[in-house]
Amino acid sequence: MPPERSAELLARHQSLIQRLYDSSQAARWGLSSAQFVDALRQTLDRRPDTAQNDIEDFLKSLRAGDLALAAACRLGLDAAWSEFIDRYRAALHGAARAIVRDDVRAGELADSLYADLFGLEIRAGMRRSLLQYYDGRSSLMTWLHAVLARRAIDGFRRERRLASIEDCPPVSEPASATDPPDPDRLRYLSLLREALESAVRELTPRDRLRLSYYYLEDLTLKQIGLLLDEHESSVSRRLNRSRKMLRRRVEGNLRRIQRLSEDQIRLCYDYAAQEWPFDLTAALTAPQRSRL
Amino acid sequence: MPRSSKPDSTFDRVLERGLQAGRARQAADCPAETDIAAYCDRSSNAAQRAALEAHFAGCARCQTTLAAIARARTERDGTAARRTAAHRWPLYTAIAAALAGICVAAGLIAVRGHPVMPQTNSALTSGRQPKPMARNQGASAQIALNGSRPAAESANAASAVPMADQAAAARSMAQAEPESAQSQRGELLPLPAAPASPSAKRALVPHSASKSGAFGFGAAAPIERNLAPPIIAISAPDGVVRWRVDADGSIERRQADGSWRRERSGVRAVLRAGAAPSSDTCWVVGNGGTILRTTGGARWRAINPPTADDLVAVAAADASSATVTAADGRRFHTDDGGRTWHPAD
Repeated sequence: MPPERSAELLARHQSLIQRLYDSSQAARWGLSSAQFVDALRQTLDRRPDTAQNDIEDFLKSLRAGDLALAAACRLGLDAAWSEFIDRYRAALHGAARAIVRDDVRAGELADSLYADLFGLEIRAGMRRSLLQYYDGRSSLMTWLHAVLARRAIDGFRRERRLASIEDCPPVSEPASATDPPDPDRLRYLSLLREALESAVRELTPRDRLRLSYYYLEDLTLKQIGLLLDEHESSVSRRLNRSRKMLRRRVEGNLRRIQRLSEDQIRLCYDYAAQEWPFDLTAALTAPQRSRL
Repeated sequence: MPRSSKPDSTFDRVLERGLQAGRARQAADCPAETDIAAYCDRSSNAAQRAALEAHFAGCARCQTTLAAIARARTERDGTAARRTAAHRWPLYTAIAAALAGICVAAGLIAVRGHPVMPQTNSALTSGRQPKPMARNQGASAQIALNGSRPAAESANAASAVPMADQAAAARSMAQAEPESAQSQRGELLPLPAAPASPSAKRALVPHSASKSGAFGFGAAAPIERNLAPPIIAISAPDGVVRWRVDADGSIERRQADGSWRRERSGVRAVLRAGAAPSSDTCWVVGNGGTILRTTGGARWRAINPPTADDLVAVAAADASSATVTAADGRRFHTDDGGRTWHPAD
């Protein structure tokens, strides 16, 4: 959104902005009203799709206090930094420990982030703080968690020089025609892949996410519930439902359409459990397909 | 890999490997941290959420990032809960101590007919005091929130601490290390958390039923009949509260991880006091001659009582040796785990 456009929009909501400024307690940290408005403008600039009619609701939805604190810290105001340290320094270290599970690395991660938030680099007289990217749409703590998590994940991936940080089983090439002891092995794997792809496509993205969080990220039901805004019991119920549905459809497909026996279905599973040469990316990222 | 005899577990492995291989290491155009944070805080609208979830569903980088956020958040929530409990503890114990003093004063006024100053437990028990046990094997400790004094005093026993001292100790512990290890906060748990709760109010009322005033009170004041009997926290010789007993007959035992698990007592009688000579052995007594004992497991065994009268105190040296005190002050001792009792000296 062009700056003049956002400035014009904000000018139409001066009373609301004044209320937000007062409630944010920005004056306590020495942040002026004009500086607060500038922070709001920067947030709006990043949301060019915000309709004019939605500006008021959008402004009301912002975490004004956190936005003001972040803006005051960016400007280097001491009172704001004291508040930031009191509120977030220990929490950042705790979050880092929860993410990387190693005290030394957690300390390094948190301190590194803290330095970037403070902004050790100065360009054109302005401190370059990571806080400039905080836009007030979430709480400052959640944003800090997201930044910390992304740094940890990306750093870990660079360090390990792996494309994926999970312990992926090696993706093996399909066995050559002269190698496999069971001539039907490739056929079984192919049938299972197609059946599983078809079944996964029928899941919603949330169902797929839930499964990934559970099976691949080892999250607890409570943690999955936090991410998906569901109660633990709902997470459990829906996981079971997805799992049963997938199994029912996969085996139904193999049994009725491919005419495999129970023993042959079991072989499909066993071969797939040994190696999985197929890629379900297309199925997982495809739009949900309705059953006919 | 041997053929699995459990289709479900094999399917789970296949599903896991399929999901693993199926998500891109990093899908294109991962959302910025601000968008991920807004998603986590439910600030995105429905369309934005759907678009983000469609991306997340196939992106390992984003899934792992979100998983890390969930872990950080549960860590933060756990820390906040522990801090809240620790910060409230001094306030609750101070209020409990103040209420205890008021109730004691009210009780004395009702008995004597004129205002008296609140007194410590030692003054209240100046009537017919239970005598020390003849045998000092092991140690027993009892903390009764009804203000009563432990029936037995052995050389090694942890003596009951008056309510005011308990409150002071709890305050100093909570203030000294507000974020100390869970074990310290766990040890403070047995006392009622909320002074306004009925159970806490119950705990502060001195029990009666003693015509001769074994604990310094006279005949039962009418007010007590309107109040439920107290909750009892029972410490082992190491000072850790191992059991807590509710007056309605329910008993909970502290687990290794600090949580509490309810144990079946098998009785519905009002329970009045308990003593734990070791971390595994506990005696509990109550109305109608109720005597219960556990020796390490989750089972409680009813012990044949020496009298059908209400039993208001117990002291124990081990699983075999114990002394119980009836509401009228009579004391009975056993050396064979309750098979036989004789009057104590």
